[in-house]
Amino acid sequence: MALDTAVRRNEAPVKKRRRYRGFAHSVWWFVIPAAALYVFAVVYPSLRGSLFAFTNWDGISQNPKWVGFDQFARIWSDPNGLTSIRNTLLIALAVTVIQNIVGLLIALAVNSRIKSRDILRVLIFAPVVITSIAVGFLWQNLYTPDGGINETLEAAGLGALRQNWLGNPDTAIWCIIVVVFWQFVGYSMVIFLAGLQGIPEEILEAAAIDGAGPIRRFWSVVRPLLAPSITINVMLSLIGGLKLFDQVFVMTQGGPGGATNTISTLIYSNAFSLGRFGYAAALAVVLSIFVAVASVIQYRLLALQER
Amino acid sequence: MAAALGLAGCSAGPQSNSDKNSGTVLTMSGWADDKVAAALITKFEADNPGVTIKYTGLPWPGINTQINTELVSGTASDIVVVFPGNGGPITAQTLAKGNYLADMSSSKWVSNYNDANKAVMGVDGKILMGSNAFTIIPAIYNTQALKTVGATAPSTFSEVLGLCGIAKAKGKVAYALGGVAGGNYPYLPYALAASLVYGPNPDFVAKQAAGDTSFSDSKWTTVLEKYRQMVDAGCFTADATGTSLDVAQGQVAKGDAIGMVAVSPQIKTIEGKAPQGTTFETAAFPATDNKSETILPVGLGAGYGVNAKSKNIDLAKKFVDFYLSEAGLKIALDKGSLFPSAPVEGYTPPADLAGVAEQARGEKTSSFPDQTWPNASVNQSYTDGLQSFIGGKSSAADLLKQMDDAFKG
Repeated sequence: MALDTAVRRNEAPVKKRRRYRGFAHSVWWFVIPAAALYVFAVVYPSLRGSLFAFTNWDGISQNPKWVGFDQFARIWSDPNGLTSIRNTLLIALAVTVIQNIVGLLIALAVNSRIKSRDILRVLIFAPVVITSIAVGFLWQNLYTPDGGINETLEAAGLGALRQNWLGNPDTAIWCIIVVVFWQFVGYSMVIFLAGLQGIPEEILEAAAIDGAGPIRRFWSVVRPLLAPSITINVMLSLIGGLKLFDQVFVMTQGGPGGATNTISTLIYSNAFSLGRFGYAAALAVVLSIFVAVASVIQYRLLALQER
Repeated sequence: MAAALGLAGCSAGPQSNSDKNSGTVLTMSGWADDKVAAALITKFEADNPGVTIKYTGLPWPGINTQINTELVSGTASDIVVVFPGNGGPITAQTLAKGNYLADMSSSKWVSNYNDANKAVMGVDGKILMGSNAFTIIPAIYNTQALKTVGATAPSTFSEVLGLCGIAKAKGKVAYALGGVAGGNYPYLPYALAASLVYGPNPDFVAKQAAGDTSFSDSKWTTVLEKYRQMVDAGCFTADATGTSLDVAQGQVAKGDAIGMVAVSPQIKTIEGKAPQGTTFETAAFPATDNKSETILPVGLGAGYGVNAKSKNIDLAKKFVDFYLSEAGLKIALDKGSLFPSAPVEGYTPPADLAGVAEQARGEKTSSFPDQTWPNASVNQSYTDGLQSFIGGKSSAADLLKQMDDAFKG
């Protein structure tokens, strides 16, 4: 009996085997309806639309002609195409950097014990819930030569700083970046705030006891623990910036003189105004590739940081 | 939620009495809040018992993409809004490429139009749309503002520049200019080109299509020189490239600007923004110092066409016939202010069009250039390039070259 007990003690525990029930009983069946809908509504139209990028279809004629990669080559020879790519990348990078840095600073501020922090959180987040179309019209009004911004500058004795904000090709693109930042900085703030509130107080207290100042605590303790929030925020703002359309369309329609065209506005104008559906599809494919590449690179870099 | 959004997306428009009739149902896609269409439908249904017209009103600019997409996908209404000319998603010549519109060449109302009009109403001799109104591009003046500066509507280009100086001295703007997309900034070159290019050379369009002339080789250079002269003389709104049409109209309405060059349907909008008692007058915009050389741009406005795949083609054509009949024109005049495309007994032009009405009916007119361009890229190059030109960022030569390149396709 002692030997039996000893043997039993030395034997590895017996794993309970699950009975294989076959695909027929697999949980994947529950995914099929949603997957089918996704393929029908997203995958199939996307693939079919992408095929038009290899044709010269004008959106009207019955028989489009296959032209291979001509539409893609056109992007690089079209001055509007190059301008739109440059503007798209500029907006995406500028919005990502500025929105996330300022969003983080605001989150740090409203995470502290200042009075009225609840009201501040609401006020800063409020523009996020306004539709982009409404935001575009609102700011278009403010930016007009006799609009609120110039009138405020005049009233403050800064009339020399009056600008033709949206009518000047040099300032128009930055005006749009300011609007996007204003609308979505609250979004970044909220995500960072959630991340900050997940950091245990004891860790910060321990760092303080060890002599770390506020900046050192932030850089060495808070920042690494915020890595998931940084990943999400950077990804969302980068993707949002790359596909920006509403604000540009409402405020400038890509003007003045095409100076604020983005890939999205160029897709719209080529498909629905100029009858160049094939070219618009090529632009859409290029934009999708930009978004995919940017997302993958940025996700991998930040995943390294999270580790 | 999608269903609710879909129902909400069906614009409010003229309601038909579909509950009462169970006969033939015609579908029609037109402008949102169109009182003229509502009145026409009511009368047509009364005259054709058993027929119901189901109307869908669409706003600008969505009307372009919606009707275009529906025609391509085969789900369009029996009667649809169509623009004359080429270069837009729902222009007659663009839609002709896919044979989406029914041929109405044998309709009685076709004879009301001259050859220049018919050329933009279809292609290869087919008439694919009809419009009940002409659009004019005059100079629209605030009469009280003119009196304030002690001036009258200019009839020569020198007088135009003179008015600019007078207005500037009095702290006003001579010509309001909305330079933002959708503004009135493209219309002044059209007014100048009517007198300098298309009026003196009626075969310019044909020569250009044949490759025998181009924008760069024509008096379009003079058109843009004169535009530049006016910019440099301070004729226009400051920071025009950042000024919307709405603001420009407001300037004229309040008398901060003496006038503006715009399409005639905008007169009603300007009047709506003006203080009570303000009156407006129109005049052809001169391009030279010889009054007899002034040509007025007059073009067909948007109208209706019949879906070639309609199951009720004959009935749809009957509606268009009614729309363009004298009875239909009278209903339209009663409900809205327009310049009818055909003579109407007893018609008197409104006071604000009195300055151009007679010329608009005569020979000293010219079509809108963009209705004759072969593709939409020319218009895009023109409007984008003109913004840069007004802002001083590009030259006339650059702009005209871009237009020439776009013209070649």
